[in-house]
Amino acid sequence: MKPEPTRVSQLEAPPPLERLRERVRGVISRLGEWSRRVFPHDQEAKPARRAPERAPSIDASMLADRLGEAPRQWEREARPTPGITGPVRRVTPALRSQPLSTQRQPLSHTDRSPVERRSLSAASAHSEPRQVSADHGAPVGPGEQATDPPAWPSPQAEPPAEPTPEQLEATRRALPRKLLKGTRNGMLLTLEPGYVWAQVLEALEARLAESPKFFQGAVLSLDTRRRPLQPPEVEDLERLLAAYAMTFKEVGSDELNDPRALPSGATRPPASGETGPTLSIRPGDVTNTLFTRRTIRSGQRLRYESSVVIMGDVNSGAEVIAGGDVVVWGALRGTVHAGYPDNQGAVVCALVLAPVQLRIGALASRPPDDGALPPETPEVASVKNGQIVVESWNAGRASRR
Amino acid sequence: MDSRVLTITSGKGGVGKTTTAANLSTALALMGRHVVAVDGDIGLRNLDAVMGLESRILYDLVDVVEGQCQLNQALIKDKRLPELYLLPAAQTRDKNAVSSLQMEQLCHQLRGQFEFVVIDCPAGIEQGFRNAIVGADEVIIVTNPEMSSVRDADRIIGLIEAAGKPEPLLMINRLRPDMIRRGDMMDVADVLEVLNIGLIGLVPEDEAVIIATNKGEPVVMDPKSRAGAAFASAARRVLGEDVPLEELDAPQNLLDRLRRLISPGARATGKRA
Repeated sequence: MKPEPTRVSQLEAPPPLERLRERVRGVISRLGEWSRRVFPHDQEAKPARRAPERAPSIDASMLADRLGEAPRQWEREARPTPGITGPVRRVTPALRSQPLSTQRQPLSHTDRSPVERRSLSAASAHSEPRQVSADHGAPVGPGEQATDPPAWPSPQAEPPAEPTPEQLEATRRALPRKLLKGTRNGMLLTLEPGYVWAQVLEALEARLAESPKFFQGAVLSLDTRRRPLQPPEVEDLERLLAAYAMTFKEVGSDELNDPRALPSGATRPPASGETGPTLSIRPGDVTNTLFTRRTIRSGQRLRYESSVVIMGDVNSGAEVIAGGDVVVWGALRGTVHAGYPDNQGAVVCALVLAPVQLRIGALASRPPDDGALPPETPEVASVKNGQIVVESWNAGRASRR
Repeated sequence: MDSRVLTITSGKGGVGKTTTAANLSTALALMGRHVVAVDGDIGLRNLDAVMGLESRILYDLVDVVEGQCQLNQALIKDKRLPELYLLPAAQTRDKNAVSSLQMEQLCHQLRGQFEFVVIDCPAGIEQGFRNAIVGADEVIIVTNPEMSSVRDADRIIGLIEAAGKPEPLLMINRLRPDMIRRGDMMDVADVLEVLNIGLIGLVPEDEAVIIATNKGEPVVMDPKSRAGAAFASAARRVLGEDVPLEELDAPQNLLDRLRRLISPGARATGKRA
């Protein structure tokens, strides 16, 4: 029922047209809603389509539940794996590289019989792996006991002091007449710990000079397990071999443990407690890489003289300037300059390679103009034929320098 | 050549200075003038992204001022218009990297090469603002029709007058005619009542501006956008043409007219919210 209008309002009664307007307005407002939906080209700013009244209301108890849940979820998402779809394959380590038993036990041929193995297992729980590795063709001399290997000189050791006359004499006696051994895979030179490098070089030069034509173009294998090669020695060797158009390569345990590769008796399995011989550092390796676990934010600049590895993102507006390679274990969205100022052999790798600008050496490039999103796979950028090229990273394929 | 240096400033952040700078430069270039857009916001550069040129930056304004490169090496030609160039700011420095004197010298150098130098001023009233207006011939103040930006614009007008520059011109951005009709937003007259300077443009709120920014294409190149049309008219007014101000409140279609007949809104009946 309409409320009784007071006398005051009667005096100021709105004109009839206004009343009509009021009444129709209610109807038309509903019509207007409908029209706004039907005629979407209306230029007025429309309210957001996702109306807030649809959202479920959150009360305090629900919030408590969510807070309790949140830390677990966050942990799961804390390590996103962009671009890696599917289950992560775990590569089982090769059996050969498993640590052998730390207990030293004399190993005889009789141990290999299954009956004996069971009696041994009572004594040592680790006999199984040892048997396995023995079955893999790394014969051990009968009755030989594993002993501590001599301490390997660290690669960063100071240059050795001048050899004493006694050392020189000992080396001369130790160097076998046949310095180079012929193997299935070519020439092999084994370096023993006591050798003085100058003498080895001299002996090698003499041997090569005996029949130069025979050695032309051959590949020399170096067994550096017991005495790793230092960078200056590598240079000497390269210089010497260049005269004969020879190359050399250092061979690790994989090839040397093949009993067919070397005469019997010359092989030994890695001593107990070790995982195998370590490769010595090659001339192209970088020993002063910067490794950082953080995200580089917009406006921040990371400059380093050598290679850089970043575990995190490089956001748009950030800059990374490195003298060597740049590896971003995350999304690279900023500006990167590898091989600064003029090393065009540097590469840039990222899980998501989407930089604003990418520079290698003195070349700069930008993403293609077609506006396509970068693929969600790891990619590597390098310079090929004077141009910066971005390729997808296939597992196991090393990028060429 | 009679070059003009225009600085787009506001005081308040987020009112549309960078958008206005990008769109005015593009509109002037579309009309055939030689224009350079200068990003004065060192450390928080955005003009390059709004114009879609962020991937082409090799050198920036700070490099030029410090002598690390020539001015021509830092100028980036626009990817669509040959008459338009951009001088980007540095992202890894801050506003103290450039002094007012260096900025004035830079403006002088740019004057010799371009008809229009449009400088995008950063928010605030500190060194960045001082650098942006030191070389200016004309200043355009951008504001939104709401109290905080009008108040900050007022402060800026005072600082500009104190710097000895001629009276600035006003551009009102992000107008919402429906809200103005309801009485929920300041209208043009209210803003001019406070600021009391000449009007050079009225730009309505438009979703197309956000879309254009994300794409890297100034909205003035979108023929269907009302904001783009408004920026184009403003550019014509900058060139001296007498373009009547937009009737932003004009009804857009038949149903709009019908609706207004029934419900004219607070303004028509003289009521104020």
